[in-house]
Amino acid sequence: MTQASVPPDGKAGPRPGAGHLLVLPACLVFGGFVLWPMLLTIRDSFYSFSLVGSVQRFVGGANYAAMLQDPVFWLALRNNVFILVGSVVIQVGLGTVIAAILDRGIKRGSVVLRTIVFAPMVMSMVAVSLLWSAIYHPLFGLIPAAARSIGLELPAGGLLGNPATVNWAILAVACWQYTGFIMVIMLAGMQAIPEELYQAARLDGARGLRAFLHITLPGVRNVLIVATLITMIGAFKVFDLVYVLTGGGPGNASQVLGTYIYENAFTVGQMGYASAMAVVLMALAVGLGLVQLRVSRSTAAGGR
Amino acid sequence: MAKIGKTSVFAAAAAAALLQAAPSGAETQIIFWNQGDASVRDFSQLIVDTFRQKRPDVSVTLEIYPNEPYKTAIQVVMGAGRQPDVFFNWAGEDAARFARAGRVLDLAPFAAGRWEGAISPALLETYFVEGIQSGVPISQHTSLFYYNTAFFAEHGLTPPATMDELIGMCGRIREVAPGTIPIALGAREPWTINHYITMMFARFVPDEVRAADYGLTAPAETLFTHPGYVKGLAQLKAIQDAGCFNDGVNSVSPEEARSLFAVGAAAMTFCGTWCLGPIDREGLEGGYAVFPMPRIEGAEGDQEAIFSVVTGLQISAATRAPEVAADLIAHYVSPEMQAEMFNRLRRLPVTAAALETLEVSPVVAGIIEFMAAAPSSVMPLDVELEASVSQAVLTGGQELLNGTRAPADIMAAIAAAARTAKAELGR
Repeated sequence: MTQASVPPDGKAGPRPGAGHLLVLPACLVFGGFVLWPMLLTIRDSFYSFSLVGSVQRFVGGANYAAMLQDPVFWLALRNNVFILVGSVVIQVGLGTVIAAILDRGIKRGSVVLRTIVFAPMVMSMVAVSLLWSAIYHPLFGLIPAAARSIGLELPAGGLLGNPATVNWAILAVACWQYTGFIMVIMLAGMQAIPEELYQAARLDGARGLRAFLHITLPGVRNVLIVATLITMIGAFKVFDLVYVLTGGGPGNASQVLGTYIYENAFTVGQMGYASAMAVVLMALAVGLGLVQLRVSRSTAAGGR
Repeated sequence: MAKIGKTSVFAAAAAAALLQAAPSGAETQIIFWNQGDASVRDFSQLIVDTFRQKRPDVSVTLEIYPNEPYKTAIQVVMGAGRQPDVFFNWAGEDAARFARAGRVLDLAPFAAGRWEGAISPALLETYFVEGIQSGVPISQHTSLFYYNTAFFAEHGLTPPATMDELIGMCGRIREVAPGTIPIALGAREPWTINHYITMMFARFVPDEVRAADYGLTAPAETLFTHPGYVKGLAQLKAIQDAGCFNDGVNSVSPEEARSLFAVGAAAMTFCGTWCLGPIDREGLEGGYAVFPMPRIEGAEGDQEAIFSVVTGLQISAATRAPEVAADLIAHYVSPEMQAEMFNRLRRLPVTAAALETLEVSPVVAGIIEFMAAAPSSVMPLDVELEASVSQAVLTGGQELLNGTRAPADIMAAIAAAARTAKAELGR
């Protein structure tokens, strides 16, 4: 028994293995509902079968080979990357700026502004999607009506019906909902920066933007990285927003990996092919997750 | 007096709960899935309640899903889940898929004393796939152009007999009533475009060629290569380019398009007979008439074929109560319930006995006569085709109306999907 583990009152500490026992239920749930399905999906990716069919045919790497030659798969991946880049720039960028304004910019009304920006986060994604579907509607929607009232011509087919604008329209909804979440994370990080640093900076004549650039941003660097990684993972996992708004259409213009996997699994009935794409998506998400873990560990190590 | 321990109390409570939850030993439980909106839910509940009166020993759990989610949900549950005993399904490939996988019962042995003799062999045949009677029809539909009779009368318009006349009419409507949409189309769910494409292919491609292509029995290199397919898609694009449809078709839902017609914002819409009820409920009852998809002069296909889709019920092979499930189907197709289906949903019955008892409007009487007299019919492509080929058509339809893909490219993609599907299925 080490010095660190002897409690102050001298009584015996927890029994060896008690901690493992306590986390066992969580491990069982993780194993049964995450790890096992993950392994099954990897196995299924080497087979060809339909959802209702009883025969599974081993095809080796044929599903992966088909994926490499599938233009819709690459289009979906490209759309995911588009949402990723746009989300990082807008959600993280704007969220950080709003957090800075709330932290040090305005005193009156900061609670109200914080609530307004965060409020979309508490709505379900399906409700948000239905709401924005109505706002974008080419015949009855608020945005087209406003555009027409000022003589502005919107693209033919409506914002969600035009391949050139549909992904921007989807990105706008995602940013509207999640910027508040990033704002809250960044605000928490900013509020942990010691006030003395700002006082010292004021003495040196650094205020406003200079203080933001030279004190705030370096001070929340690690939080910023984590927020960025969370946003990136979310961009790869996006499904319900696209599914409700467009279903991946028009045509395949707004397909993302999530909706394309869903379509192949449950509409076309190619479970093996869908599993192969799911494995690729999982690899991307796990890769980003490992990076996030590494950053978190280095943050913790740097903090001691 | 002995103390009652906590353990005893919990055990007694658990036993009481279990006894309450457990069904009575004599009661049979079945699950019934149907698809549709609130009106279908209400009608389905009527089916369940009246069936319970006949069979108080049977408890039916009813689950209703809207159209698009149902298509996915039924596949998922039939693949891996607590399968419904009786469930709705479309005839054609949708029914055949389950029959091929052995997921549904052959209903031929259950016909005697139930629906035998009540439903025409032609209708029953729509569910005869893979050598078994895989389902029983409950309703039959056709798709037609609905037109606003007051609008037509006001502007001196008459139903067109040819496609050229229809396209010319669109231009005339735009001139005389600039705020009125000639034909409302909601292609946010692409099956609506599919119905147009179904008819275009029927009009431009000879029957025997289509049959071989749709069944994937034609040689791989010739699948979907008849020039009539490209002409059919080009014709649909020409209808759009003539200003027939509303703006943003790919962002408007089928229900919104139907409502545009019902409230008078559109002069016409192309819809199935499942739209009769909703259009009546939305205020245009008695204010519309119908005409079929016009002929296309000089096209090689079938100019007389009508759009036809039959819907029905299937029984899961996993059911523990096949006789009860068959009784529920028999109840659904009984003359009383079929008549009630028409009265509440305006869906056309499948039994002659029910048809004879109906009090119908002249429009519906005309539709029934039209369907009975049709020399040939075509099923919608999303019901007829193998799933991946169907998906290629659905996707291509939206791309066609967006102008992002040419008809020839779309047909090339459909042909490629057909070749792959043919190889997979070993046809």
